Amino acid sequence: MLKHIQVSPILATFKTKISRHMRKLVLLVPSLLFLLTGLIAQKTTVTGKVTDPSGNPLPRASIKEKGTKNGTIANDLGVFSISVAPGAKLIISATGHEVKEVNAQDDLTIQLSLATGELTEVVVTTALGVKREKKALGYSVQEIKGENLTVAKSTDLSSSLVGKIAGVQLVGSPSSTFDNADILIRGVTGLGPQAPIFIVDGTITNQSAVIMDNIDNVSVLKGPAATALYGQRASNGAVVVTTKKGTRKKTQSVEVNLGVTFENLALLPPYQNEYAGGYSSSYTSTSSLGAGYLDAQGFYLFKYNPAIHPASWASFNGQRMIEYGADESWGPKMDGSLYRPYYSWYPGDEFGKEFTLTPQPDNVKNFFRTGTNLNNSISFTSGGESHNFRMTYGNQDRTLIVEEARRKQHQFGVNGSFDVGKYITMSTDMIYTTSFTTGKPLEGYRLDGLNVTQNFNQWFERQLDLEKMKQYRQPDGSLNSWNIGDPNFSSDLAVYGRPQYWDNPWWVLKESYGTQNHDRMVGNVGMNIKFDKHLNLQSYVRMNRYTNENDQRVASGGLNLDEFSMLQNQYKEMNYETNLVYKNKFGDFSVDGLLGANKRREYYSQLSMGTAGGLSSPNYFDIAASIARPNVSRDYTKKVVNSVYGKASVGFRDMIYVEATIRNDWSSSLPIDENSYQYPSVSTSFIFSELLKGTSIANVLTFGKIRASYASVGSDLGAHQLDIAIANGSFYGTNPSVSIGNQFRGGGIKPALTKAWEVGADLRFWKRFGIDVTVYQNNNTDQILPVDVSSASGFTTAQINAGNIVSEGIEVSLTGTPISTKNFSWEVSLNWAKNSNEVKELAPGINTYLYATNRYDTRLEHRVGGEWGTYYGRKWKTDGKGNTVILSNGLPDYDLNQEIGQVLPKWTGGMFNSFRYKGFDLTFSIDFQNGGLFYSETRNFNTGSGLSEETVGVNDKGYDWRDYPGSYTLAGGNTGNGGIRIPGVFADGTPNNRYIPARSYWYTARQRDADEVLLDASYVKLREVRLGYNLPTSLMQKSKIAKAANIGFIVQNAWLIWATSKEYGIDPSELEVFYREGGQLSSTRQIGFNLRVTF
Amino acid sequence: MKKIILLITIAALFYSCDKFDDTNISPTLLTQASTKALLTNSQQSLSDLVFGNVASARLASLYVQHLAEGPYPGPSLYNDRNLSFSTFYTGPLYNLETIIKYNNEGSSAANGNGSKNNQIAVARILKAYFYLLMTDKWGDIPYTEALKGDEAYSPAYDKQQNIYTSLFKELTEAVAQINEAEAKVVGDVIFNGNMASWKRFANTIRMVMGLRLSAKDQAKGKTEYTAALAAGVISSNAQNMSYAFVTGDPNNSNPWYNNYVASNRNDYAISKTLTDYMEPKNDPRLPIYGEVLAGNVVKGLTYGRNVAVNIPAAYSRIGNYFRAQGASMPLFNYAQVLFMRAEAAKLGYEAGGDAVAEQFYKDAIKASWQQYGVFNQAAYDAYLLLPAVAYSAATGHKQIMTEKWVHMYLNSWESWNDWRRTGFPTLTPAVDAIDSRGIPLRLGYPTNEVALNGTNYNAAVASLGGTDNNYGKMWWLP
Repeated sequence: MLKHIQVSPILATFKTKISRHMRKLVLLVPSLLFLLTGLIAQKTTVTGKVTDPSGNPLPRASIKEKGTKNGTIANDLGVFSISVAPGAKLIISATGHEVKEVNAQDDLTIQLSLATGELTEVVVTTALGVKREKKALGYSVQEIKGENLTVAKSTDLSSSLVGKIAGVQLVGSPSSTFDNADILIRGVTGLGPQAPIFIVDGTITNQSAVIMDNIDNVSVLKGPAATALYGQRASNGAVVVTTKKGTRKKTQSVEVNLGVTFENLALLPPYQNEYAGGYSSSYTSTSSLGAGYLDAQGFYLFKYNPAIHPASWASFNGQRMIEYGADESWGPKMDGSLYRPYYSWYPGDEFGKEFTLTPQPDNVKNFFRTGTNLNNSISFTSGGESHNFRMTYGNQDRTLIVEEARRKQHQFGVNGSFDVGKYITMSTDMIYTTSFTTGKPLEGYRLDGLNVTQNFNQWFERQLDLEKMKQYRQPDGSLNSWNIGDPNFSSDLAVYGRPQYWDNPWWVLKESYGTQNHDRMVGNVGMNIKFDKHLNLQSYVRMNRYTNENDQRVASGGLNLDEFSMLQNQYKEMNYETNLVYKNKFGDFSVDGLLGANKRREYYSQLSMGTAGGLSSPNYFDIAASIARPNVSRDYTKKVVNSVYGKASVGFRDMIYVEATIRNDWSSSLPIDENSYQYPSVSTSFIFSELLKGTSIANVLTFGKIRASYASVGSDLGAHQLDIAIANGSFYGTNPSVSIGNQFRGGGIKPALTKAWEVGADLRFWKRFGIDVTVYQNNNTDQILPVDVSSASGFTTAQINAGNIVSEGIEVSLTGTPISTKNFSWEVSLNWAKNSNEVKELAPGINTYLYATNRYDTRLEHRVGGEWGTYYGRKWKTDGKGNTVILSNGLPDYDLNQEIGQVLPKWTGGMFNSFRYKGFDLTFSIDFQNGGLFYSETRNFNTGSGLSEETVGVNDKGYDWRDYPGSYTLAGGNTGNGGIRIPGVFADGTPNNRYIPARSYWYTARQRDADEVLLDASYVKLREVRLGYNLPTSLMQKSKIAKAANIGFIVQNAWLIWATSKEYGIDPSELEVFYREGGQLSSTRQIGFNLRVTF
Repeated sequence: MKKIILLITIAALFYSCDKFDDTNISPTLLTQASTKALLTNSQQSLSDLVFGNVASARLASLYVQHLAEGPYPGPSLYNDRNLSFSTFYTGPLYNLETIIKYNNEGSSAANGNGSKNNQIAVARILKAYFYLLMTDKWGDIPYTEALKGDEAYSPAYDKQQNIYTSLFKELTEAVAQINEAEAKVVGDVIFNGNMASWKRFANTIRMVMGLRLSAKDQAKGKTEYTAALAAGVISSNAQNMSYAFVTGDPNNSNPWYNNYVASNRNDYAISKTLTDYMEPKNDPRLPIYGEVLAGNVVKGLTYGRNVAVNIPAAYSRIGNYFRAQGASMPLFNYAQVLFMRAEAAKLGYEAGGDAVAEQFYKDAIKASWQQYGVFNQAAYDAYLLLPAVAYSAATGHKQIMTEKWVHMYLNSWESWNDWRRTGFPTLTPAVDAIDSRGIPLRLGYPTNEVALNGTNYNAAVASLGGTDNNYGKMWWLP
């Protein structure tokens, strides 16, 4: 009997791992507490909490001891602590609120009321890090506070933004891997989707450089008017991250933010649990090998052949087998019959024995373990009259749901500034990140067998007990696999035991893995010279630098040739930036100006190496192990862009603002005579509610603004792309081999230009509700495009300036505080955006750009006059009366090149909710998307290879469609009862009476309809949830350990509430690439705890 | 204030105002392609384009039933169409065009890589060979206006007849251009710069082309055939032309080795159509053609069934002779020339009629057995006496073509050309054919030509009768 209830080894592993992590945690907290209390204990300390009228904490409220210079700043939880003289008074102030004076006493809760003219002083970060009053802006900028971003301690900035910012589309990354997701802001500008740039404290870098717990706020600049000063690289938007800084108040604090989550599988395709592996049981009554190889139940039989088999195998004659080599599940019913499983063909106790064939409904689910994620940070802040300083250490240790996958990451952050004399302030922001990853799961449709999820979802046999497979080596050290060959035709284990397509998945994970060593340093050193109240000179040196060292192993002894490859690359970008900033007020007019210049140097080099022809010793993973000449390639680019820019802004009575910017770039990557390009922007904002002051309308409409802007942004191309490339081929012996590149480049490239306008309105009602609407249009012209040309020209693409892609859309953002009492409050915000991208023009004579081709000629194209990214594919042919046309073989006829739909969603959005009841807080965010299509290889082969529960059923005659349909004649129909008949008519109009085998239907017929493989990307997702509790201030006070503490229960990637593709096991918000998945990794959910303590 | 001045000075230093100069010139990219390296690369692409490294190149082996498909029957059921020709144009053809251009321009890239005449002649011969492979697949194709970059992003299609005429001329001129006294070409991994071999190669191509016109323009065909034969073609197995792959070099491995061993695909087995012909005749080539399985059998897989089967051990994959890592693949060989001469005699291209045809036929079989290293006089004598093999005037053409088909195993494009021209060997189309029109007669044009070269594409399709599919009738088809 096959005993498969052996859960313990996996479970035991979790338990030990969890408990090990828990032990670390338990040790860490008290020791920190102990360490820190001693440091900061003061004599006459008053602690308290500042809240808004709803009782929500007011972060960064200023607390001053009246009549002294002594002061402090409340932390993110609104909590402060200050040492004062006995009987002192405190003056509490916070942006947008009335100033309040209170007697200093312990355990204070100070509620500030809203200032009149509330929200007028909301300050946001705009391009080049310039802080501006939001009301003065003539374009849309949406800002989000750090604490709302990392509700559930997400480690991914992109997916934290989704739903919280209107117009941000998530283009995903599987939750069960380490990768950051990508986002698109306001659709697309070119032939391919471009991610926005991420800017951390003024330096352009990658989102992975951010210390999530250390984010003060994120400001998303969406349109060209907002980003014009950043220049070309921000033409797809900019995500501007400002990290937390210390303050210039005499204060010290320590914040600890601890998180532990457990990660589990959340979604799998629906598997069938009735039929075992095999190809042929539904095809024929006899195997293609001839009569006697299949029995009535569809089992493949062992036939003893004395010419091939030893005499000892004679007794096996007639035993039932599975077509082991098939990696599909069109085999016999798992009805408990006795059969020879694959392992009964390996030497040992089980050799020659029969076992029962029983379903394994949880085989795949149980293959995955529980992952853990320890995500902790600690920061120290200190300040004084002439300096401020913050130091952060972040640490993540995450294991995934697959064996071996682990990433350890350390991050160090330093922010600070100090005055040098009266006029000069020096400042710095630095983040260093180092991570080491092993066993990152490989995704996509792979032929090398390294994506085990693809194995389970696309090419598998459903009867397999994966627990049984865990012992992947035989006692003699050789490997085993479920996917063995056919013992009917060989008695040599080396022949029949050789896997047909798949190695043992446990072995793949354990031995054929890769590692990534990543280091990144981003930061700046700056100097601010304050000439007077109005004029400053700021100068920065900025650096963004990373190095990677990645490798990948293909272990020895498996199906594939053993291999070791590695990739080393490094990137360095230096920016030298100087800005002259001027700010003044003349009567009713305010003036704000900036003149600046920047020099950017980019340097990139890459070395990739791989063994060829195998490894010289088993599992000797080094380039030196290469049996043949290793494959080596190097990549190197260098680029310089010089820029000057300026901005002038004039405001009139805090009511009307006009702003203009201009920037000129010189890029080394453009032809020398065309390397200079200039682009302006102009914007205006009108706060019309100023005119309504004193009227009754003002009681309802407390704030009203309309805005408008126009901008253009130019851009260049990558380095070294002006001449036709010469590609290296592989040496033949000692003969070098080169070929002429496939892109025609004739020089004469001009900078590309994006022109954009937007108008918007920002309205606030009863000081509680707000609505912000933006309408925009971008015209992307003169793009530097690699357009497709007839390959008969000798080239497949030509580099030209051409095209006009128009993107337009609307963004709406609603905010409100529906309930606000002392004990209970509810804050909500809702974002919604609709975007469309039309291809107006490509190049003269060229009306189609093929973006990608998927299987079955399912093509993603941009066609002139159509929507950007439209899917075309096969459709079953109809006869004009709505009947499917069936060919004489019972399969549907089909048309090629039929329009299916758009790849980008029609609209996207999200909702953010925050409830507070006394000490409890509940926060969650939902995001959603309507429309969009993606190609799903998982769905394609999950059904095609008979794994999906959809492939189990009965036909219109009431018989199991997996049974053999028998032979067929037009007059007599089928002789058998099985098979599937596709409703439709033959070419002559007579109804189809032909039943085809189930596999022919699921594998072949459905490939002729792109709707089967192009899935709707609509979804609604509860992304993150946090239920927190603030430990009472009094308790904190008594314990004298910490100023404030909040403990939270958190869930990340909480629940895919609805998606069309959910029933097929795919989460459309986590795709491999925006338009397809070839072997989608599973979706996971992380549940855990978060403790935030301030000392 | 001093401090301020100091700091401004430091800031100003960051702005050293240099020009871009050579910033945009990559130190690691080649700026000039040496003609020898272009030649090597062009020859290496034979592996992909002719011998079967990509799915498209395996089509012919399935169409003529040299092979059958196992787990994923597709092309053998005639589902494939509209294959891309871009790798021909953007790969070897453009590279060879560049060799000619560099030599004509006197570019330093051509220095030391052979005399100008010899380099140009070799490039012309190889270009003609690639164009021949193409026009025989697709029919009318861009030729005169092709390979001109931005001068013609949408080149016109030339008539197949005109392409043939031009290729005859190119081959004749190229042979005349070769000067064996001058420096031989460098980078030639097929003939190692042996200019006499290049002449023989060009003449053999011309001979093949002449015979190809047997059903359409016998007069022209015979003239060219006769001239080519007189100019000197392969005359012994020692002169067989093949492309050698390199044992131990994964980048120059035999494509079948790549498929079976490096990629672990077991999609193809020797076809039962072929084994059913060879096995009863005790053909000694069978264990060379097909893998010998347990029980000492070569087991062919039934061709054209839409049933998934696993091949290893159950059916014979192709023999090690063809799929070893360093196994060569044939360009032209002596037995092939003899089969052509047999057919030529039978058709009246050569004098002597059936008697001469029979002698060439027997010699061809002998040369084939010798080529595969299985010649044995007694077995050969017995083989020739078999009723199906023994030459008879009435069935001579069919016999010649059928034995040629056996000899041309895996040199299948040429077998497909023969089948389309003569209808021999007699092949039964796939039982489970997806397309009821049976074995394809041509390949459909690449789908993206519709979008990228619409006007010219439509004109070409119009001359095919208005539909672009696998059954349009190209010019030289009977």
